[in-house]
Amino acid sequence: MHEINSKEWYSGVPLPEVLRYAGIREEAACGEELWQSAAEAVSEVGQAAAPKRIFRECRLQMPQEDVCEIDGMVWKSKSLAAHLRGCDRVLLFAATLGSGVDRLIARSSAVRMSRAVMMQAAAAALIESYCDGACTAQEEEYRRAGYYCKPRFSPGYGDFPLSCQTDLMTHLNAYKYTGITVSSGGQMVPMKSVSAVIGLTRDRQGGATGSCAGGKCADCPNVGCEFRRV
Amino acid sequence: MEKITDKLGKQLLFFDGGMGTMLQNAGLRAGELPELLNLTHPDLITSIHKSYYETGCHIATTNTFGANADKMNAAGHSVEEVVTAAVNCAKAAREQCGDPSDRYIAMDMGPIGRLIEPMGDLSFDEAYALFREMAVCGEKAGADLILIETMGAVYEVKAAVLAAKENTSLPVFVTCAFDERGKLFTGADVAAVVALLEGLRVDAFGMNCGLGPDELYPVIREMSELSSLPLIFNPNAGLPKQKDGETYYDVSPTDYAKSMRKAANLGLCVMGGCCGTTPGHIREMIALCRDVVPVTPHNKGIPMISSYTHAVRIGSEPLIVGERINPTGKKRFKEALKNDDISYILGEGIAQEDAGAQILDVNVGMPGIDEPAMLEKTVKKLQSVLDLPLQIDTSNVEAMERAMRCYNGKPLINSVSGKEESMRAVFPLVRKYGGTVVGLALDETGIPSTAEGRVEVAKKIIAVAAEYGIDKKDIIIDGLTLTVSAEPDSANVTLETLRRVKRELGVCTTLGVSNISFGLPKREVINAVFYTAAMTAGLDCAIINPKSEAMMNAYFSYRALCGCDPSCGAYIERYSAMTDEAAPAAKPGGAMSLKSAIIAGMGEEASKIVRELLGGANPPEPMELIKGELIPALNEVGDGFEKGTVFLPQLLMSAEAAKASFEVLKDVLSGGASEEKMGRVILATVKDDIHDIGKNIVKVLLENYRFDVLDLGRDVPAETVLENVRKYHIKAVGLSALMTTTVVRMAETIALLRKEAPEVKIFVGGAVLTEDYAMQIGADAYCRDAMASVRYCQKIFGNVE
Repeated sequence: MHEINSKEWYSGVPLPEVLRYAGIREEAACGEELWQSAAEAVSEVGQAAAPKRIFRECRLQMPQEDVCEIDGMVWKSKSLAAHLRGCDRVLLFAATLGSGVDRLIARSSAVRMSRAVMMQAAAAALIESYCDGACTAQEEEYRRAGYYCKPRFSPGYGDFPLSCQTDLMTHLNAYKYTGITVSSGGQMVPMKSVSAVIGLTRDRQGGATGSCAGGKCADCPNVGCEFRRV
Repeated sequence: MEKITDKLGKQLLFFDGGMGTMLQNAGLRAGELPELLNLTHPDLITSIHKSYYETGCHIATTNTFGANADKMNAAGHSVEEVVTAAVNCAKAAREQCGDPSDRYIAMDMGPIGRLIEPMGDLSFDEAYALFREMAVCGEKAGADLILIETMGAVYEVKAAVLAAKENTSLPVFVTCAFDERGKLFTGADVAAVVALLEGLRVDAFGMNCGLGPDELYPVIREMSELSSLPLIFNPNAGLPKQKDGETYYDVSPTDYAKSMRKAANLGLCVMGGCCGTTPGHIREMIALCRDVVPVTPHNKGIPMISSYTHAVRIGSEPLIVGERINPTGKKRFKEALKNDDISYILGEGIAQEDAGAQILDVNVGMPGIDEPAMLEKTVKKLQSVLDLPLQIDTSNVEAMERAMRCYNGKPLINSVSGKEESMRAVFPLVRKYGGTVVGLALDETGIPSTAEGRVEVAKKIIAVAAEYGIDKKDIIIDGLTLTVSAEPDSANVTLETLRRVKRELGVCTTLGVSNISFGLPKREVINAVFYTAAMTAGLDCAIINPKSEAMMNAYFSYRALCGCDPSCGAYIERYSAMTDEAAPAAKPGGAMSLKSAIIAGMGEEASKIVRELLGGANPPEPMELIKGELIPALNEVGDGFEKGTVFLPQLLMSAEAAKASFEVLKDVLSGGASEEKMGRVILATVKDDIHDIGKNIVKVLLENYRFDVLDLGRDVPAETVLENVRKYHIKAVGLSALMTTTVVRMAETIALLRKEAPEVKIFVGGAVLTEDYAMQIGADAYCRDAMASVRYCQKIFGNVE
């Protein structure tokens, strides 16, 4: 379930973002080769990617301060509950760039780690950008119905346990629609995949920014993170 | 009851439609396990089967899609219990409908839901065992066939098919889920699926789920053009849509039937439906398609091998089989095999792909090596980074079988000969696992000296293969290249053999081309001419070194001349770029020093400089270069990284440049000097963690500083780390973990090492780790990045430079 209208959907991925993910803290300080290398990595990863995503709208109840009940799934998490305050519905969401990207990075890792690092960074930027695009389109539909989308909140954020990953994927039937699987250790495969809960609220002030496409970092307690964008 | 396989291709057979859709309509909620309804609501399941049988369909699919031990045991049930109940539901429906002779029960097996290694963490053998249990229970409970469906990865298909065929006597049907690119989730295209499934000799295959009949039409059409086996088509009722959180499909029964009628004309043998299809869809489809006469499947005769992403068609244009993964006559390669240096072998594979190989020959046979284990390991490692089809090259039958079993696709096998013993050993493997096999034109009497004699052996090979059910499209004949300096007529005989094999037997050909020049000077010169002559005589698969300029010149020229290269596109692309390179612009500032090339991260330049220095009038001592240029360069970059003026990709580029120059130096370093190492370090990503890029970065850097790294990989159990610490008397272990969940595993690993090997030093790193936490779980050091790991190892090995 996805639509990629433009063949080069990835061409708009910001290169400074890729450089940042590759551990380059001051883009201004890096030479032309690194910009070039980032651009090539975006293009190679983009061509290897077969992005797919799935949304599913569910009812939300919060029987206690720190408990979210989503379509019968009961998740105990203060940060998730705080994030979803004011919402009566949520969208469950999963997206992936597909296993071709994992393979591409594995291939580079075997012979040229410098390339692998750049591809890893490009893939991180691409999946973010793909998720943003998908969520923005989804939000437009909800706006018409009077809802605002909160930012994506993923297992592993705050005290939202990673162990919820399996439940979330099963509930979304994610393998069928996207090919995402969960390893026995609870990690998503393909590795460049994202899962999240998106709160739906009628209250415009309800979210940090009210938009799921921006301000992702605002709610994160890890204020010292070097990738923080607020 | 007539076996269903006897009806395939004689009458159009019909599958049922969606089970999940019917259950959803009956109130099944997202996340619930539908398989448990066989136990809790058998009447509901029976009534669904019955409503499908009543449409006139022949095959009911049991409600066992996810009834594997992974899921069932977690829900507190056994596979046998659930599968037996499911088959009983279908049997009850069949009885209620009467006329059981025309109604079959398919034991349904869907994907496990976890990916097989190397992409995921499920081993091939575990996947096999999960499918085996389901298949065996299905047969025991009375199913008539096994349906492996909605598959998104060919490796999983292979595990499931082998499990079904090796443990039951039921017919095996397979359908895969293709997406709008015409590919499976893991990237396999239609031809790759066809090659694999024909090779595994399933009874029928095709596609299901994914998309609707119209969207899948081009995909099933392509499959019908390639396949020699009966085809199955079970699409969804259109594309999935969503309303109020529920997924639905909106192609009506009438429209579905019309689309299926169009597809039926392609000559399909079995048709039904998947998600969103109901008894209404199946009833209308049967009404509209009943009179279509299926095409009895016929042999398309297309020689194909495959990897897990694509097939390579043999015979339509010349192909290059890279010969470099082979220890014969290669000191460096032998050393790599002896030291279990897989990354060197992977590097050889990738370099050959980059140079233009379409297939890679894999030979790891040498005295003193456990060839079966090494070949299996090499094949697995190669297919984890490369998607080229492999040619499994061994005379060791055990090694051959192990490699064929773990190979993710349909391989080329090198080789069988006309000897009775060889054919008896190899053909059963080809029949079981699938493959195209190289037939050497020699037998008990030796290598015939005439083309006539070799063609006779080829005929014998083809005839005996047929007795094993192996079609001649799966045989390619090696006309045998003998050294021309020893046998003046040998080239003529070989070329004549090629011509006659192609013309008289109609099978494809292969040659190990470079044997021709053995013992002669300037071997490339004669190799290239012989290669060209061989292509003209009908050589399909040339086993050559794709890194040889002369051979590739012959290849590109021949393709341009024989009409395989439209508008000479490939030729122009390759050689127009070379013209520019012929006159490189002089670099400003004159020649670069080795040190500055490494600092700039210019690998090719660095190794070129080393070669020039070594080949010059006053070649420096290798150790002098290492101490005077290499190490200072690395130190400078390392310091810069620590200060924040050099960034990670640049640090790694310098590391790679240093490695490239070191490889050149290695050849001239005398004896043990090249192996002077700083100490042995284990690296591992802990159990349950499959993210290994951080660990791999540390590895590159440590190796650069001449530490001997034993890389245990990812998802490594604590016991494995301990085992290796003991076995190799390791002084330092580096552990990496990415997630909060896997940091727990890191703590467990440290605890085990502390208890059993208290003397070992442990350094840790990973995205979620902090200094405090590292100390809390008992690590000796927290290394925030790769350079910190290097510094720590230098400290504990006492060799700070």
